[in-house]
Amino acid sequence: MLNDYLPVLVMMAVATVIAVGMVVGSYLLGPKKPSRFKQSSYECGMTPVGTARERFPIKFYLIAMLFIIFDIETIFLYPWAVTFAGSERAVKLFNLAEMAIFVGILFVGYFYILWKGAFDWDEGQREDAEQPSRKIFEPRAPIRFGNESSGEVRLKAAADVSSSPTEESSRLTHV
Amino acid sequence: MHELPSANLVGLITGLPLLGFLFHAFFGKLIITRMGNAVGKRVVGGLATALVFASFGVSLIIFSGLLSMEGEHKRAFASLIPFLSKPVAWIDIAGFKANFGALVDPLSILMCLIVTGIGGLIHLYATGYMAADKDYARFFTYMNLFIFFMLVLVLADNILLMFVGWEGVGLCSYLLISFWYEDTENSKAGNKAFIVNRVGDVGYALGIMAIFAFFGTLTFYTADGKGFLDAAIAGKAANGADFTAEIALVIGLLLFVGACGKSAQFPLHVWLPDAMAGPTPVSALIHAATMVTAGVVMLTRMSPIIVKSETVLLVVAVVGLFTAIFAATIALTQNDIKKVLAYSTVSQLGYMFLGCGAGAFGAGMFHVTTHAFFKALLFLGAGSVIHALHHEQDMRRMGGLSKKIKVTYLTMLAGWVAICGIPPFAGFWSKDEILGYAAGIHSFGMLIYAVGLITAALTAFYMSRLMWKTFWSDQRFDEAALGAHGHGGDSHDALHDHGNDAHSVHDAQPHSSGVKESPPSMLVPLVILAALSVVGGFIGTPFNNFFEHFLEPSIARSEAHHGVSFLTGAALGTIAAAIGIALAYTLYAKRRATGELLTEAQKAGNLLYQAPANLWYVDRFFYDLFVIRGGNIAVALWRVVDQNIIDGLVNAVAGITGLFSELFRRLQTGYIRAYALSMLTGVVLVVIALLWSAMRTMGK
Amino acid sequence: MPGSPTIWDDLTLILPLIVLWITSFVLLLGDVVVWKKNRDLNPILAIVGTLIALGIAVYQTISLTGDKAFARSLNMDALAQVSMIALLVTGLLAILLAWTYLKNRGLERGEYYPLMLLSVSGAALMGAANDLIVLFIGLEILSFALYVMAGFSRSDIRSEEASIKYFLLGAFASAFLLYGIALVYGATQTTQLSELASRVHSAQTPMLVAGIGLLIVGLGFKAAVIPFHQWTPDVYEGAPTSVTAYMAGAAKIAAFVAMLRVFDSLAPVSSVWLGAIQALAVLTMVFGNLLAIAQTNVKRMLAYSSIAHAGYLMVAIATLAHRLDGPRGAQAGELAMTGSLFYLFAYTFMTLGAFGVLIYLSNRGKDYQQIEDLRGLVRHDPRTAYAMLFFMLSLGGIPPTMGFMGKWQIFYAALSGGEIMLAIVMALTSVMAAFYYLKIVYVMCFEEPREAAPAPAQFSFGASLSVLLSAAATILFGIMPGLLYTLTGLVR
Repeated sequence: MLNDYLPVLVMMAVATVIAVGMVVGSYLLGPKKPSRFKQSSYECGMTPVGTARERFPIKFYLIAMLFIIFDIETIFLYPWAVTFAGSERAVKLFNLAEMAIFVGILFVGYFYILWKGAFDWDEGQREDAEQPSRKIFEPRAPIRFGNESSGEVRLKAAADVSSSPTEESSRLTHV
Repeated sequence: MHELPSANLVGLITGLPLLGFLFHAFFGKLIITRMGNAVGKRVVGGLATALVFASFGVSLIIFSGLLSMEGEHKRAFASLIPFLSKPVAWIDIAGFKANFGALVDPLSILMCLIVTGIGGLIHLYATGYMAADKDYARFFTYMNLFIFFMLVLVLADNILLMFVGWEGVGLCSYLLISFWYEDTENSKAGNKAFIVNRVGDVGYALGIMAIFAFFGTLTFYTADGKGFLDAAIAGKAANGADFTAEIALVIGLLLFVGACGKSAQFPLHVWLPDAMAGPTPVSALIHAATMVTAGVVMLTRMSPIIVKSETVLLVVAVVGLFTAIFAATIALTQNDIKKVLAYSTVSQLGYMFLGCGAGAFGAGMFHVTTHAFFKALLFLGAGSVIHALHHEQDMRRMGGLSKKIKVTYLTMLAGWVAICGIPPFAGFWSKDEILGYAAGIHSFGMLIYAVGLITAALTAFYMSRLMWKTFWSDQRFDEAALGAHGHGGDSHDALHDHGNDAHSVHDAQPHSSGVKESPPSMLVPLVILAALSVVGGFIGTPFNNFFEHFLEPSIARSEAHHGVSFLTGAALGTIAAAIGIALAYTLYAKRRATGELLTEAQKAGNLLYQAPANLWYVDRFFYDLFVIRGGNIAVALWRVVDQNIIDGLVNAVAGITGLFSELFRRLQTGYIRAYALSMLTGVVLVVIALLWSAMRTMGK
Repeated sequence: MPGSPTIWDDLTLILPLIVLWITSFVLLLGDVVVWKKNRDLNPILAIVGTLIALGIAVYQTISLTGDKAFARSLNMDALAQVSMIALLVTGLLAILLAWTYLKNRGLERGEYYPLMLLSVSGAALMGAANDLIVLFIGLEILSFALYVMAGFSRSDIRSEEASIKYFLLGAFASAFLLYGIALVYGATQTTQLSELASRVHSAQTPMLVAGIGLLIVGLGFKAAVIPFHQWTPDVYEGAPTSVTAYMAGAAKIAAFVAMLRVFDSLAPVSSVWLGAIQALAVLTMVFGNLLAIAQTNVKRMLAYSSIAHAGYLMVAIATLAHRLDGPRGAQAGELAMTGSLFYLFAYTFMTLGAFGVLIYLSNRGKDYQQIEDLRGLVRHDPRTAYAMLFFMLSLGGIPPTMGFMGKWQIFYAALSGGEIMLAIVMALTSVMAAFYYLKIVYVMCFEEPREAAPAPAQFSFGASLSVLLSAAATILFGIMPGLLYTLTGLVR
């Protein structure tokens, strides 16, 4: 019975070896030119050290949340597809319609957030965020991330970063 | 036919007046303001009258259907809500069930005909009588509401719904007695009626509870014979127990107390004469023809229970008889024309109760019917007289009117012969029928019969006195001064200075003066009622008693029988009436000028006059006992017990509660962590409690 | 296969819900794209959708089949249908209220009505659930919409606070509920309520007992039962009044119908949970009423009053425990079932009415929330004051109002079920309740207004109609309860 778990064990071992090997390998092989930037820890491009109460654009969450919603809904397609393949012909049409309704409901949500302007990142479009933007096919301004205006990434962490948030980010938090 | 297809129309009988009520309540005043005084009032009054007559029409249709119905019971069950074929449940909780259902049978349809027929005529009369009143719309609102409730009362298929109608007519009576509420006396009269009726209602309510306790249902009859009256006829109470005379005694007496209140039987009669403070059409409709007979209707409906107990029958008969003669003596001494008629009504109601007490419910209902004709007529006639004399109600300032208001006089004459019991007019047949049955009560029926005859003679006497003082004696008022002065206290009877109809008609023709005949809208009902008073008795003659035969399916069989033969009874009754009339004629013919038998000095010294003139001191006694003494006790209780002990307790409890409240509200900190913690505590406690109780039960 | 129920039959059974869903999608997209200028179209369309759903629900109730749908996960019996009608009526009244309120507050955003319709559908699913999982899904659909709606006034920090509090504590409670469902499943190998009823008796393990306890907690939170109630006052006060009104009615109906279903199936093991329910009922009645006395804010007071009413309904749940104890117990259980449905109807009418009065008044440019604000109302706005009077009398359980009839039925059920102690506590705490309801009446009717009469409230169709309908129902069904019995009486 324990034999059943052997493949799992093997896989865990392989994974461990690869992960450790990569870290160790890069440590051994890579050139080392340390700088203050490089020595600071890396976390998704955010300033790593500072107060936990830092404010940053709520847009991150919005996009992330919307992504998760649609991501999870997509997962439903897999079991459906498996069952669909094996189902009888008569039921197939019905199953297809059922999935169409499901996707239709997803589309309602998608178009709602789209027209509502949830994806409109920059401020120019946000002025009328309450009103739906119907210019979905018009060229967009380049996407910006909230930290552009702050110029360089400052490393003098704790004290500086906790200082008052920029004009931009403070506005962004109030969507 | 064993079925009654038209029974489904019964909802319309009640629905139409209700519609009128709602319409007038919401739009009546608006219509009068918008369309102008003259047109608006015509619309409002016309609509109110038309709806009641329409209701009468529907009643007639059902009545004709009922006549051609075959079978023993002649009964149909329908919904009281229009356009529904099945009754809707009103209350239905765990066996306690009451429907909005109608019981269509001879008794209920007879009452519908009376209520809507007489009611319609009186509505018509009121369109003229109230023409100048500023609250015209309010008047007809109440009147239509009254008709609605009265019809609910008579049509209800269960005693609880009947109680709703019962209380509803009481409410309308209160509202209409104190219709001119600016006058405190009128408000007081309304209060008196309402409060005295409460005494009776307690009896009625207890009766309902007793019925539910003994029978387990409140429905009179059902199609499958499960109503409590079905059970009473079959001799079964709830759970198969026997329906004994003791049960009948309890229920019967309680219901009788209720009937006494509404039908003004001694000692609960005190409210009815005061109720004359309302407008005259109200006195005619509510306090003579319909509402006050509700007690008789209710006893008749309950006859299967009442006849079971000899005691109840005897109590009903004795109270009725006593009330009849008692009120008749008071009527001898009254000077206010409406008061005479009011005491006469009390007396006649006594007759009806006597009939019921003799077990002759059909005879009682017959008198209800004929009395409705002639008493409504007399009241409306009195109203016409009052109208003619610009609000004079005191008969001492009337006289000689027979030539001045001919139509009113002639119709009043018809009412007079009818109430006196002169054959072959309406009152003769019904009164004779009642007295005949009364003579058959036990061994002392003859005694009752004799008292009944004396009452009949007294009735003839006081009615002749009324006619003398009003129409036949010399004129005792200054015609030129009529209508020249306002309705001050100067025109009131000193003794009974209650409000009168002063407000309404006076404003109508402020400049006219002198005696004037009433408008056609008032005379037409008078003429119709006069005709009914003359011939109305023929529906129930002993030779061909259509009336009692018609009612038979609604009434329990009793052992009632005639104690005297028809001819003897008729002869004796006629003689009694003749004696009364002759006595009045001989006495008053000599005193044409003054119209008074006794001088003021003679009156003052004569106890035989003083006692009835002071209403046998009953009102005064009640006033002393309940209002003054009872009031004193109440005040004392309030000062000592209520203010110190009860309030102290209440304040202490409230203070402690408030303290706790303040204490516990501090737990509401506003922090989510605290809330979550308290939830968690709750979770732990709930789970522990469950596990504990589970362990306990498993251990068993 | 012809004859056997197909998926189409199942879909027909939930047709009212489908109508609600379609309406909310149409509203959602339509408001953003099609009629963005016309703010009145949202409530009107929402009302139309709800009315259609209500019509279908009433029709289905009349021609009741009592079928189970979707692999027995929904039980479309009388309880489901009647509670759906109650919820749709609540939704209808709440839409009317919101129409006025959102306009006055400048909150007219199109998402409101779709959210509300979706939450109604979630609540209706809860009422129809024959499966604990479906019950949970219904609860979450209801709750998520409510969390958002509570924070609908985004510029108002109290509204935000209400939303986040409700969300966090709601998630906390959901976790308990889900855990309870898991434990019950573990003990009985089923989540279907109808199956549960036949299995629980032979599966009385600690696992089942703990599971039942957690179910009580999860549902008790939604129903605002003490000690899981503390979100109630804060959320009721902070949320926009129209949301509070809707939430008070709909969440209460959904939670208690679900409770009725769950504890109806758990009746075979009533000895396990009866004690806890009794204790919670007493706690809720006593402290709900006690705390309401000290409030000065009407919305907050009504929040505590809603807790107290939850206590009365818990008495009905406790009575349900005697369902299997002979004919008398069966009758009491039946009464508890019909009585609590009647009570829920009454509660929704009178609570929405009371909040409706506040909304109607706040149209004078001021948000009416404090008891003090109502001082002397009868002098300058008698009609509104009388409406409020009726709602307060009804909430206090004074005849001839609907509140009295409802309370009486539960009281009667408790007495005939043998829950004498609970009946006594119910009567005593009702006296306490009379104090704070009548305090409002007193302030309104017998005290002179402090300041000069404010401008009369502008006529607003939505709130007026809603208050009028609620008042009419409160009185009509108080005088003629039989009209409603024909509906609630179906649930036996």
